[in-house]
Amino acid sequence: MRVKLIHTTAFRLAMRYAVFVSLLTVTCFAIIYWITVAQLHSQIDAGLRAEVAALTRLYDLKGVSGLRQTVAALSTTKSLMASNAGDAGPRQYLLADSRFRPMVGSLTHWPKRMRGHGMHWETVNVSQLHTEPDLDNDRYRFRMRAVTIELPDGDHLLVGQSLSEIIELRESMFALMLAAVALVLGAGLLGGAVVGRGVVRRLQAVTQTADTIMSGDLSQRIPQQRQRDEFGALASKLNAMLERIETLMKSTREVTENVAHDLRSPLTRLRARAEMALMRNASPEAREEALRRGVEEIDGIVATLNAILGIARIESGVNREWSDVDLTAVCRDADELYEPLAEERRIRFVSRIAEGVHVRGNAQLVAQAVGNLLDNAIKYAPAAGHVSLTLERSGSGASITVADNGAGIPVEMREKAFERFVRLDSSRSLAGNGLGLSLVKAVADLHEARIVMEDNQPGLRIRLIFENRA
Amino acid sequence: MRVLIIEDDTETAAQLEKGLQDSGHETDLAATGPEGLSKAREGGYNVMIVDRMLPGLDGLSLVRELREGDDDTPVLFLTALADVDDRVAGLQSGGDDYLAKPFALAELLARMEAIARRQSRPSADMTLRLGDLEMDRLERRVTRGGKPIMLQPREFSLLEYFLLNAGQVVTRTMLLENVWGYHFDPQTNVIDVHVSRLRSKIEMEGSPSLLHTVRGAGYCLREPEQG
Repeated sequence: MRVKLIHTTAFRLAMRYAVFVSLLTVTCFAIIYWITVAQLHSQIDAGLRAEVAALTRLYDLKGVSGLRQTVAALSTTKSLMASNAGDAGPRQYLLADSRFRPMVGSLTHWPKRMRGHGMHWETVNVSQLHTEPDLDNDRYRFRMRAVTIELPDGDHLLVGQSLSEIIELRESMFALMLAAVALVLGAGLLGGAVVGRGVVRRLQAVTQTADTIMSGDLSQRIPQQRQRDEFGALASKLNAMLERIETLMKSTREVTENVAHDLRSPLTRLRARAEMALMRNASPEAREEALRRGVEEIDGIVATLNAILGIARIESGVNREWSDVDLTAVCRDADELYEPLAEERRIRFVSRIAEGVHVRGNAQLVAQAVGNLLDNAIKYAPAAGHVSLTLERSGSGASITVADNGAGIPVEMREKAFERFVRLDSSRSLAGNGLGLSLVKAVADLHEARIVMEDNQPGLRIRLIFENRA
Repeated sequence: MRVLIIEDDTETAAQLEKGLQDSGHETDLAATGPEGLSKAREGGYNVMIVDRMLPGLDGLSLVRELREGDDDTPVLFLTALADVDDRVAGLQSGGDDYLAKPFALAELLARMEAIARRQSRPSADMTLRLGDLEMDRLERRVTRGGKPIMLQPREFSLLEYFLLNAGQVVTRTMLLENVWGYHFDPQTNVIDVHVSRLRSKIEMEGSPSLLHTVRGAGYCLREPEQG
């Protein structure tokens, strides 16, 4: 299945991040704007305060007429254009009588909200009066910061400053902010697309492999990627998992095949015997014998089935109930369990068991494995032969050795001995279902123990070597 | 003994009933979990044989409910699952023993009788006796007809188990589980060798034999028949 670019995690993460950065940008711009505006406002107010002070002084020196003249001069278009207030934009003046009727100045009205006594600060919308005819409109409205004072003779003076600068600043900052946000979002989109495409491409290898595996080819593996990044790690982990699944599948298949193979012969015997018993001329004794052997055959079948399932369970790693295993006790018990059997067969059974040897594992399984090894050794040792069981420390772990002086196993056959249902003596004269060593191997694998088969000259020596990882 | 069989497979149930009745037990049958639970609650059974997989209410839950109601009738679980884990689950839910299908009728009878007896006679006696065989569990001493018998520790446990189940059939797997603590089947019948060794130690010239082999089932330690 192809993943759409906009659905990739990388892309969505990039977009989320871009949105976050955009919000951050907007906030920054807002803060900068707010600080700048506050500063501009206080500059304007300071300018206006100074201007009012200067005009008041003029009034004190020259009276109303002097003030009228100055205000008239300051209110001409030219001087308004000349921007007498420096950076803060053109100033507005208005001199009005005690009833706020304009006498001279650049404004058409005295602002309604400022008709008070004393000093009064306000931000108001006003209309400017233009005396120059060449301007398009002789009146237009704008926002203005203004201060008014009442003169001692009852007249009123207003000095104001247009806020157009601040409005312009706001507009340009807004435009700038939009550009920045667009840039961030664009970069996020692009980055997300590039990264997302990369991720999709690297995952393509995984999905393709998964497709082939699902179509039945379990041997497929994800091509190893050169980069040792998280994708490389993922690929090798997935490969390890696939390896394990394939092994399990194979072992399941083997079990099924082996069950079919090894149960067929006893079932055939069972069926033949039952048929014989059903024949009309069968004697009652023969019938009874057939039934008795039939029950025995069934017990054998059940035992084999249990052994196969047990091995399969061990191989699948289900019973990994790890605890401390006292190998000394396990070996002592095994020694004690098998010693009478050896004696009965006139076999000299010697055991050398080290004290206090422990490993991590499943005690029942280890006991079963040791039991199987002893069972085999006693079975294959010649009459009056000898068998030995040794437990010793080796390095940080432990090793269990079971040896006999029987026929042994030729080097080329040793690997085969661990396979299920393999009985190396083709005569089949000895009891057993051929699963003993398979179980030992399964238990060893589960415990990550090594099995070493050696020539005992004569006979066979099998060592189980446990590494202690605790 | 009165035995309640809770088993949904009619054929298995019928054979169980016949087998138990032939051995002189009284039986009652329930085919579903709820039916089994209500019969069990009526009481009066010495032992119950419960299949783990039952319609309506599974065996484990059934026994757990019985145990919560302070019913401690011995329970033997029957199951198609034969794993150690399943065994543990069965015993934890209040079962007394566990037997995997397919089983030998002799094995079932032996185990059923063992758990029923364990219930009726707690084995706290310090001295076990059978005929002229005597075991002092505290001093770990065994005598027959007053003569001491030297036993290895495991032989002592083996004889102790036989004495605790005197008169009853004891199977090889029961011995493996209870005397050796092994929950697997060794390939060769090592148990037979141990039992015959024990037998040779406790048999005395001129005295009747006590430890008998029961063909197709196991062993039985019992007093010699009178007369």
